[in-house]
Amino acid sequence: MTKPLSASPSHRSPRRHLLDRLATGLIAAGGIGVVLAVLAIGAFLAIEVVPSLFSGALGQEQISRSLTPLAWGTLKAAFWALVFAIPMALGAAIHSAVYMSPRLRSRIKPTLELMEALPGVVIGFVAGLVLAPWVERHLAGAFVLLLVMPLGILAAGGGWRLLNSALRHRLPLAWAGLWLVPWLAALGLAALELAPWLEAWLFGGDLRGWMDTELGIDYASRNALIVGLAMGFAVMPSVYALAEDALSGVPSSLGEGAQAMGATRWQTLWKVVLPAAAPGVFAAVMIGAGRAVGETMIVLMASGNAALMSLSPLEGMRSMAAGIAIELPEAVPGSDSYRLLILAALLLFLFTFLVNTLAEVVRSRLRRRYRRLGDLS
Amino acid sequence: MSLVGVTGRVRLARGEGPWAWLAAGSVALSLLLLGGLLTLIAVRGLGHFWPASVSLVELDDGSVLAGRAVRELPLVPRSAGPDESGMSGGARERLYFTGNRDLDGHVWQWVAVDRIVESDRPRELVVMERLRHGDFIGRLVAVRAAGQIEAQSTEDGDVAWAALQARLSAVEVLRGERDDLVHGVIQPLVRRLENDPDDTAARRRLVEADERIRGLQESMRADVVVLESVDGRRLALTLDEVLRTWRPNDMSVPEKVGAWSRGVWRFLSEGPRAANTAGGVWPAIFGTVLMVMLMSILVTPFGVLAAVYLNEVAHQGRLTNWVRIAVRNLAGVPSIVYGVFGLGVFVYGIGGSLDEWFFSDELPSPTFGTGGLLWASLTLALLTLPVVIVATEEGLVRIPDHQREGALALGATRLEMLTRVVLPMAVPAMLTGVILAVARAAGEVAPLMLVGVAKLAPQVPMDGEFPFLHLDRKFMHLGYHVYDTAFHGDDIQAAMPVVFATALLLVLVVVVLNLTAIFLRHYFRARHGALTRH
Repeated sequence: MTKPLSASPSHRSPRRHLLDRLATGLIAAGGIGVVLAVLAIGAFLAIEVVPSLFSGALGQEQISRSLTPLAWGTLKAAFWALVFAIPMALGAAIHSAVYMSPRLRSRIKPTLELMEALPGVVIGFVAGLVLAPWVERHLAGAFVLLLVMPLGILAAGGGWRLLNSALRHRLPLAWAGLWLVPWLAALGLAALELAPWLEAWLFGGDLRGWMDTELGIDYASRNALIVGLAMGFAVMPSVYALAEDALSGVPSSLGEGAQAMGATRWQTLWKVVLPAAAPGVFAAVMIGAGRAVGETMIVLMASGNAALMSLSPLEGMRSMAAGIAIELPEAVPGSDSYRLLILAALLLFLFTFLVNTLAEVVRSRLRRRYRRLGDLS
Repeated sequence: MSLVGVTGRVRLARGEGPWAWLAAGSVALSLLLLGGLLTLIAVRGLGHFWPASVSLVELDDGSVLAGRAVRELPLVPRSAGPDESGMSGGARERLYFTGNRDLDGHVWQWVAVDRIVESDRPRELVVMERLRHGDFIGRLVAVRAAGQIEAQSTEDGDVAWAALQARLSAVEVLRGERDDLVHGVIQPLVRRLENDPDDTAARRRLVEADERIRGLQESMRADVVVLESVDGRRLALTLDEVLRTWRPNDMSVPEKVGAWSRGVWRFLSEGPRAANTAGGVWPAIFGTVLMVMLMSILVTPFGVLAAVYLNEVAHQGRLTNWVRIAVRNLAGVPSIVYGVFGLGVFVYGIGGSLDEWFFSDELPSPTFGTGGLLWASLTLALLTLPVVIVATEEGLVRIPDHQREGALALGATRLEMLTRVVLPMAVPAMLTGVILAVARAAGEVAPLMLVGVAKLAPQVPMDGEFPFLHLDRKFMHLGYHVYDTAFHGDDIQAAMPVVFATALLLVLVVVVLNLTAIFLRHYFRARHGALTRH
């Protein structure tokens, strides 16, 4: 183009319009095609499986026999992942939405985003080959750590109130997310040093043997707790990000009103902000559950992969995703085991898709509500 | 943010109660966990290349061992009676890497610390990386020609060491020559002969090249190094078995740093050895990068097209909204499901048909009907499509409407408005999307296990042979390398350093890509914040 568009005498020329129509048509066709291709995943899985369900090629009994342990393992792994992830994620979200200094928050959010991006295979490897043997060797230390961390945080809070005001200014609650790190690290090391003595004193130096003889609990090196911890670590950042969005999206006029009436920030959060943001927080937890159900590599590497059905968190399991990853490359296309694995994939797909859709609907409703609430003030 | 501001003045007067501290603690705890994980991977991954000192340890029963101290743990009472275990509170044991698999049958040794009588670091201890049986740790006795009868008198250590170094560098040159010959002459000739078995000139040249290689091998084997383990067992190795050797106790820190950086370079540039437990990861790096590049070539145009359609062309009604939600949700569908789709549709469906139509003379061995580079890239492109669509759409939404209206008011058609105004402004958003997609694809392993990753594929899927890029070949991948080496090896302990180093490399790639995306998005938002305010 040598001349500006508006000055061109040909700007109403039929050729340009034809080109425009053509391009728009192409974009539309391409766009629809891509969207259809993406949606074809569900269709493919259904087409592969559903006919054989109706024709009776896959019997009820066969399905329940081979898929129940896998479904059990999936739910067990996801449950323990959420046990670790939800308190941490919601705590972190509350802290960063209400208390944290904005400067620190603008650093923390990308950091946790990076945590979300860590490949599952790396987390699974560390959990399965470093953490699991370590915990097996330092069982007492691991339990002591689980106990000491929350107590240590509370102790820090109590101790903080006893400090003089100059020191309290230097270590404000707004930056507690950062200055608690060295405290917790020191506490953790101290707990590990103390654990052997504690073990010797309480359990005769052999907690594992004591658990086995006194409580009758088997301990598998790669167990549900290890999987839960590793997968909780992987799931936590995405729950955190969504919950933080929901909490900090609550119109500030609500919280300010409560605080003007004399509520502390925690009271404001608990009585005003959290009820307003509850659907968003719920959506965050749902999406976390979806993630935990579908995560493959962590379960594959950290769980031992024995298709057990036990309630004990100290035993392993095999999840649907891990089962697919192990068995599908060897299954002959069209055989029963192939169909069963595709059925497992279909179940995973349906579950995550429904959970995510639910969460997305809840979130978009919530956004509309915030907008309304924001307009009122 | 305003909450903090409003209460800033009264904060000191009142406590917030224990829950506020628990919330703060969970931030600290997650940072601690993340930091701990990254530190662990970085230290163990990088420490693998450090030429650590070797100690000579004498135990209370008079036996000696030489090895690298790896770690120390409190002693676990193994099947011990209760009376014994009660006292073991302070006892510790130490793990030594002793090498010498061919002599001892094992390479690791746990030693109770209180059994150690004496431990020091004599400078003449030699560590030798060998082609077979892993590392050797011990003393150097002599270097001599192969036929020579063993000298009874032990040579002076330093003289033998200097001789060994000189001959090893000569062998290194020969080895380079041999590899050049194999890659540059033999392999092309073999391929020519495969195509045309009657090519006598090629056959003659092949025989000549074989002759030369045999000569090179001969001269590499001309010298023998005699070694002695610290407990006095002798061992003779021809020099072609020796890859590298060093005396860690005799090295200064700068020398160690030099050796360390050479080790890192070798790790990045060489292929794996000894069932992936030693050597480098070059084929895995190449495979990952090539697969990710193919994937981004596939995913970028389609992702942008779909985003432009959803945001600029489609009627913004309820249906479009539902489609948008569905696409967004597909980002949350487990990656293994995409793998199943890829296996069922691409590999068995399309690949199987392609084989029947075009490669029927190769059947029943499949060409495209098995996992390969193309299907892996396609599957991952599908997996990352939602990421690109969502990121591009986010960029398109942020472009203020008056930019579009201005262009239309000046008489531009929709196509011109899109290509000259809207898309250029959305380029950073697209870039962000593609980078995020690449980061996700680089770390994804589960779907690849179904559609074409290989445990060992020393041949990279790109070479000088037509059609240069072999889309049907299997390839190696960093993430799968971590999984496979860590879980399917014989000696997992020995493979751990390589796994840690590979994991570190993978994490670095993913982190750098994500940081770029975060930075881009930040920059983009700042710029468009300025635009909307005008």
